[in-house]
Amino acid sequence: MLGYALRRLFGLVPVLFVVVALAFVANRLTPGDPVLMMLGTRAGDEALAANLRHQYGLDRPLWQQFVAYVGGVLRGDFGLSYRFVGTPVVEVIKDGLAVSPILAIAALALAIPLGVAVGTFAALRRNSWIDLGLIVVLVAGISVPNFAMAAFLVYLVSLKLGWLPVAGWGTLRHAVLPVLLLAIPPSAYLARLARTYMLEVLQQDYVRTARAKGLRPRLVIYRHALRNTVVPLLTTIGILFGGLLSGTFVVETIFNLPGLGSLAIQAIFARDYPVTLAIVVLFTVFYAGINLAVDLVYGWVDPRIRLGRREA
Amino acid sequence: MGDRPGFDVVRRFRRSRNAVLGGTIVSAVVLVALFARFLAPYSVEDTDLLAVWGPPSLAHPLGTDNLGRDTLSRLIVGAQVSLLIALSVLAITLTVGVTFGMLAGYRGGLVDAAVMRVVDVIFAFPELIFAVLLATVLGTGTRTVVAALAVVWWPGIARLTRSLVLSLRTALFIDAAVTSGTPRRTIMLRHLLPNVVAPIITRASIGVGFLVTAEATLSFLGIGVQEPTPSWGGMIRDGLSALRTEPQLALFASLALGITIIGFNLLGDGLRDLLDPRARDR
Amino acid sequence: MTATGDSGPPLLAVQDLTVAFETLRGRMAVLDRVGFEVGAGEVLGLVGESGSGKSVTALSILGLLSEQGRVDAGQILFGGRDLTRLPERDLCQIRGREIAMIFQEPMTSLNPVFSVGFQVAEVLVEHLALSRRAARARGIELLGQVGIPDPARRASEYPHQLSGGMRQRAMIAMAMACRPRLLLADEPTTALDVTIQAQILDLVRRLRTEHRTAVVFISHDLGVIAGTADRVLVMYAGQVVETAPSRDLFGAPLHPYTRLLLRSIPRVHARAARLRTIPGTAPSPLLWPAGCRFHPRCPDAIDRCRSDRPALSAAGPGRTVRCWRAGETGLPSAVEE
Repeated sequence: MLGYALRRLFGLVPVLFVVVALAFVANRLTPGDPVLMMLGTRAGDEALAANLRHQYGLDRPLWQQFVAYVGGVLRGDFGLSYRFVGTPVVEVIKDGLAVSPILAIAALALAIPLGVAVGTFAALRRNSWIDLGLIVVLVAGISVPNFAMAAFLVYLVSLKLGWLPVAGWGTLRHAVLPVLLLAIPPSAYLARLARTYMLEVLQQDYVRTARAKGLRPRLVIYRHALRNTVVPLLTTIGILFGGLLSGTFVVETIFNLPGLGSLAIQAIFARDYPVTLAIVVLFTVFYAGINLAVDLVYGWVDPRIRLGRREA
Repeated sequence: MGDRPGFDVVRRFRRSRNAVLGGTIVSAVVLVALFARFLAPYSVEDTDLLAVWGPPSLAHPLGTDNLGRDTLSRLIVGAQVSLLIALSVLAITLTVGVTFGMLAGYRGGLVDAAVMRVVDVIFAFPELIFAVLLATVLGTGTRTVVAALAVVWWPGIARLTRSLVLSLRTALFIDAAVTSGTPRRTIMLRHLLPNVVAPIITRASIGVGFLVTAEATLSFLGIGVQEPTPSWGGMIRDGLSALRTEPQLALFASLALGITIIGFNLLGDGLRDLLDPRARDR
Repeated sequence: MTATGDSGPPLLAVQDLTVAFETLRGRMAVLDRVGFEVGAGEVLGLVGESGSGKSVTALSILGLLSEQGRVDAGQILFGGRDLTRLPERDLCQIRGREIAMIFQEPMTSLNPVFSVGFQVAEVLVEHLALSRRAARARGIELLGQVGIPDPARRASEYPHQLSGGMRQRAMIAMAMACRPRLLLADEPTTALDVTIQAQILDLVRRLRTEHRTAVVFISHDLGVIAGTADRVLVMYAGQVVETAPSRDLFGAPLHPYTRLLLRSIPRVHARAARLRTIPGTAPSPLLWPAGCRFHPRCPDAIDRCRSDRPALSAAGPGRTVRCWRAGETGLPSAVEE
């Protein structure tokens, strides 16, 4: 188990390094001269330009800039913003750091039990009207993008019924619609998978053995079948999280939430490349972290991996 | 028992609810996209600032948008835009992905290692984050969308091709071709490629739904298709800002987008059931 | 009619059991009025090819048929009750406690994510209301009793860590945990090595002597049945075609199918150059022949066999056979070559 964990961890390092390198390269490839942009109306001022160039480290050789950047990232320093001249990027985005991870994790925490419950419910009533109806709903949930669903949902809930606020952030009520919207596609995806896996598991020999032992039907399902259904779902959760991260961009835009996603979009339009790229790196690292965590949990939960294949 | 194999596939297609329903929707959308310029009653750039936010009427069956443009026409042309983008991306990714996947799988060694490392790096990025990365470098617009989606999607095809080739490599008929001196390129083109086609088509059909969604998302965020070219994502964004008083734009555009993607996903599911029952999801 | 000489009522009495499966191609009859009895402490061997219905018979007893399976007619009498009419809740009381079952493939029959000890203890907790600790301790005892060395350590291991033989022993421990009166064993040795087979058979025989457990032992392997069963039941195409005490069946088989089966066992000292087989293949349930179901493959078949279905009739003390020509001598099937 330990070997498994270490191997996964070490495999991550080169990939993340390349990601940071790509961000650096992207910054250098952006069109235009950032110093000129920052000077704005003071374009002729040579002294100021030299000053800025020095402050942003743009007067050093490229490889030095690269080393500085990587070193900085490791310490959490992503350089200075182009838009808010002289302000560290971290300052600009730190408020967003409180919003986006909460959204993503809350949505995941909602989606997993919801998806498994609905999927199991459908599997146990296979081919009944309820099951077929649910499958239709699930296909819609997987297919319709969250901003399209938002139009209907927000119209209904906020505007016509007035239950929940449409924008802003601060209270629990503000979080309900965004988290819900974010959680629908992964829940639907998990539910469909859970249904498929549960149906397969119910055909397995060990379920027959459990019934032959005289265990109550509830016990057979919740103890024997469910464990084996949930374990393979774990691997999907990592992938779903990627979609969730992208989803925060959309949801934050819709509801005007002060999160990293909307900050990144604004930064693109404002040509504040260091901010955009910092957010790209952060999201990628976050994604990699969650995937690693999921892999480790999976390795732990499946005794065949946890204990290795020691045949007697 | 006398039936040609082709008949069997068609019969199973008809029996598959998914494929039939999905196929119907997709065909309708494709037709609209093909004949968009003929079907659209108005030009998409015809603004009419006196008739902003018009409700559905005889003149404008789906109403008008924030600049007085006819929503129906924009939706119709938007279909063409979305499908064109998806098609372009598919063309690029299938070519690039299959080529690299085959090279990696068949040649092995350094080529394989190199391709797989690149795939790993691209997979490290969460879905649309790479598009954001590319948008910073290339700016916004349709070209960026196509480039970003192509870069994000070809690794999946490459990996699939590679594993298919790896399992085919040990097949007897490949051995026969090698020992009879067939040049490598011919082996890849004439023997490997046809056997790779079916699973790739399955993956592609499932992926079109994702591509349309991704393009719409990027356009919604503002970093995709730019005005005045209509795109469903962009229209939803415009519509959402006026949702309270003028819901028609957002709702109609959302409906169009939602139904289209449901259609593509159903078709993809149906095709997968047909062509690759091992990957079944029932 | 039991071999152990008990004159009391039989432990299990299956009467006219008829089972069908709903398939995409229609209703498929799988068992056709199967009937037999098992006495307390008796080992009944159930023999037949794949598709003869032997596993379905066992599964029907415990009500473990899949969704598509349905008992169309018949009774299964156990402890004064008809198991086919019992509601699920009552069946759950009987399963694992009075009637237990072990299966052919111990690797897939044990849940891979729970330890072996847990799966044994589970039965005790459910039926005997033991506490977790007591059940765990008792479970380790049981694992030791079925011949697993170092049972305390093995109990916390998972199925994939045990060898095939040990897994099957663990299954037996699980089945015997509540001292059931009847054990249904569906091909328990088929997936095991020959040497392990012998050990498992020893274990089964011990169960009978030590605990007076009756066993219905299903197998397609006549050699295994010969050493273990008191009485044997031969099935073909969903019907019982012959029953007899073990010695009588192997010494003087009456049904042509049984004779051909016995003859097809390769013998070490025989001088024949080719292996004997039974020509043809077992018919699928959708295509059961009219008349006697065995007639297309039967060397004794006459016209009557093609049109009239023979009934199961008595053929001596403790013997029945389903054949029109059962009493005759000098039949082709009986001729030794």
